[in-house]
Amino acid sequence: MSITNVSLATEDPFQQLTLRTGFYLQSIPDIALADMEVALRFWSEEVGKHAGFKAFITIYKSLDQMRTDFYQGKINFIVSSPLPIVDTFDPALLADGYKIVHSDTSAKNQLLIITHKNSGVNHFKDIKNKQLSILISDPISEMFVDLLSLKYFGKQAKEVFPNIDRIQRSNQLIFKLFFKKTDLILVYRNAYQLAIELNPQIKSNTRVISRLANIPRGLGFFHRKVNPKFRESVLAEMEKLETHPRGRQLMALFHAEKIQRSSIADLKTTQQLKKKYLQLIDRVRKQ
Amino acid sequence: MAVKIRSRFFLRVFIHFASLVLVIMLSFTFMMIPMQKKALLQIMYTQGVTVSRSIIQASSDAIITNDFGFIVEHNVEVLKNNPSIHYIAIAPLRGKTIWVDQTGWRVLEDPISLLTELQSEHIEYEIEHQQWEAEGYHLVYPIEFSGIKWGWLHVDFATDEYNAYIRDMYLQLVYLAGIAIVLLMVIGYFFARWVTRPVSIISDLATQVANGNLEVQSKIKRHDEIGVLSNSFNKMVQSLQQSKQKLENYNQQLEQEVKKRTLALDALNQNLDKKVKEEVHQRQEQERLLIHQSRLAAMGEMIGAIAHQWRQPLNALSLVLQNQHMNYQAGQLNDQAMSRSMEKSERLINKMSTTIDDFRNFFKPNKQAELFNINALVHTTVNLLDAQFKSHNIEINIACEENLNIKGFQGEFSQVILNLLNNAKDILLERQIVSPNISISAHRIANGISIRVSDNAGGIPDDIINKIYEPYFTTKEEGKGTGIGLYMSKMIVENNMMGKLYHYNNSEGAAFMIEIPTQLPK
Repeated sequence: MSITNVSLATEDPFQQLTLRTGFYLQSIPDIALADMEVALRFWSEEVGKHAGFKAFITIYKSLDQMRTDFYQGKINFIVSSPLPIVDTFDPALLADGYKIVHSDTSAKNQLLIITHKNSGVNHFKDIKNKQLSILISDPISEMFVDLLSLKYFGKQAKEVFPNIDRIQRSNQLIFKLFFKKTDLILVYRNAYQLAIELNPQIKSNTRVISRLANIPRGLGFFHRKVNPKFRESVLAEMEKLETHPRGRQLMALFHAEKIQRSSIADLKTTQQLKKKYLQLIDRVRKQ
Repeated sequence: MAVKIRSRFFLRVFIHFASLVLVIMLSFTFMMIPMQKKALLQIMYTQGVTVSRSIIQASSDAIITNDFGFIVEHNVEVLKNNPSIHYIAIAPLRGKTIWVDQTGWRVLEDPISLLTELQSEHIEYEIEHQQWEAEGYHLVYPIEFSGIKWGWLHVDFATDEYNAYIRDMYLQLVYLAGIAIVLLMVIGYFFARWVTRPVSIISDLATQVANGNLEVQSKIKRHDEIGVLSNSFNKMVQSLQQSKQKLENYNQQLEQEVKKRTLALDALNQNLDKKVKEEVHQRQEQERLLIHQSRLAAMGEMIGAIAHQWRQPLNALSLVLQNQHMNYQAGQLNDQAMSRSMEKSERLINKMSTTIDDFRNFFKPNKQAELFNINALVHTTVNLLDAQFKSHNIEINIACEENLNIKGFQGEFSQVILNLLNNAKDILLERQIVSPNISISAHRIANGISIRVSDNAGGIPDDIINKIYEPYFTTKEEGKGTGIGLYMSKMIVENNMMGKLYHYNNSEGAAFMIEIPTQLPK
């Protein structure tokens, strides 16, 4: 789905000095589509105006379409959660971009598995026949639960948990757990921390039994063919996003504390996780 | 003074008008404030009920299924979008209360008394500000589904807006009051001026009329009581003008009449003056005549006295002559006898000569006032009559203090004493008193000297006691008294010597008192 028409005035679209962002919608499940569209449109226009270049944004529901457009140069910058990038895009075509972080310390960018204290679950091994609730479109969560299920039970998650409840937003997951409507949830640490800030009773009534560290919530990468100077100038503006009123508004929407420069190295944890996951799958199949 | 009175009248009207409007305005304000507050409370109540219904409606499925997560999420969203809501609490009939406020949410382990106290079957509300930091409008909405009670929804709204509105209202009232007071001053001024100006004008005109200006006219033309007053004033002034004209005419007539009368009076006065002068002249002539008569009478009296005085030395001289004749006949007229007769005769003649001198001195007119001694004057005067008193056996008692000196006309005063002594002698002889006596005393009194001449002749009869000083009044036989002695005596004492002459009867007879000042007034 394209909300902005990108005109290709020159023969090589990568040489056009405009920022053409492709945004994979399902990588940020907590945010409503309408809010996202409005916020990104304003952001791209205002930041571009401020930095002296034109900016456009396209929100994608299909990764294949997003990949095709990126390879053809219709978009020259992609934004998504790390796993879709690892799954879909050739790392060799990616150049440095930015990432959304919730804290300076990467330890806080964690995916947590949380139970209720009275549920009797102290370890992932104890989760048999328990109700699991995860975010509705978070491939990392799906893969992490699958990975742990394969690791501890030699089965995929859908076999270990007869009913996996998929929910739109993180705070809904936390509410379900707090009010004992589910036994196990997967949420990112920033959402959990935020929920505790709003109600400290959550911390005293829940327990984290497992965590996956260094998982950035969202990342952006340029196409390698984009003019390096232009890339640097855009990234320099991105790093100043928090100084801009509209930028702060956008960061608040993503529950982000900072925008930092990203590199291919930021995909490493995800790549390793996927590699391990694939190994376990392969092992189980062989058995 | 007129200005002050007008100012007072203006001020009185102005103050009354301003007070009345101010009272009405304040009354209106004090009626408006509670009404406004009540209306605001009603608005808050409606707002509270609407919000509560909205929350319950949106959360109804979650409430029925006890999906507290949704309830919390929804209420967090409601609070996020409504900063004026302090908190929302969902209190199930059975179960723990869920509390959501602007900072977070929690499950209440123990119910808060504020919440439970207000929970009833009806919608309740209360403005509270003790338990929470900010004042709030707390509304409790009972939750029911199909007539089954589920619990209560508590919503607490900030009353900031309400308070701000009240503050604004008070401020507006203050502004309005300020504007109203200014308007009041201006309108009141013009109103008071409108009311008082014609009165002031008429008052001014009335003052001018009071000061005599009858040419003024009120130009106020109005169709109200002031207009009537103005017309009446003008009529009154016209009426006064006519009256004044009449008065002036009458005055002219009077003046003419007065002139006539004055002329007549002048003529009369001239005649009267002439008559008075004539009368005065006549009176002066009469007085002069009286004085002359008096003097003649006194001289007559004196001649009698001289006759009495001379009788004894003349007899003695006759005897000396008879003795000398007898000595001559007897041949005994020798030198010694002759010398003795001559010496005796000469002594008698000298005595007679002295008597003549005394009388001449008595009648010698005094042209200037001189200091004289009362005691000496009394003795001298008594000596003039001494022969007569002795021949009639009248006893004379003189008791005068020494050093009683007065300044005056000695001859005139001697005549007064002589008159009184003669009158006393005459009445004593007329009434044939057995032991007649006359007492003369003089002593000092305050500011003067008092001289008393009294007798024992029985006093003055009552029927004549008030007439004795009238001229020509006498009780003596014809030829013996002229009736001017006492009249002249009173004139001398009271007119010439500025004293007093009066009389009274005592147990023995009449007493005449002379009181004269030591010094004659200038």
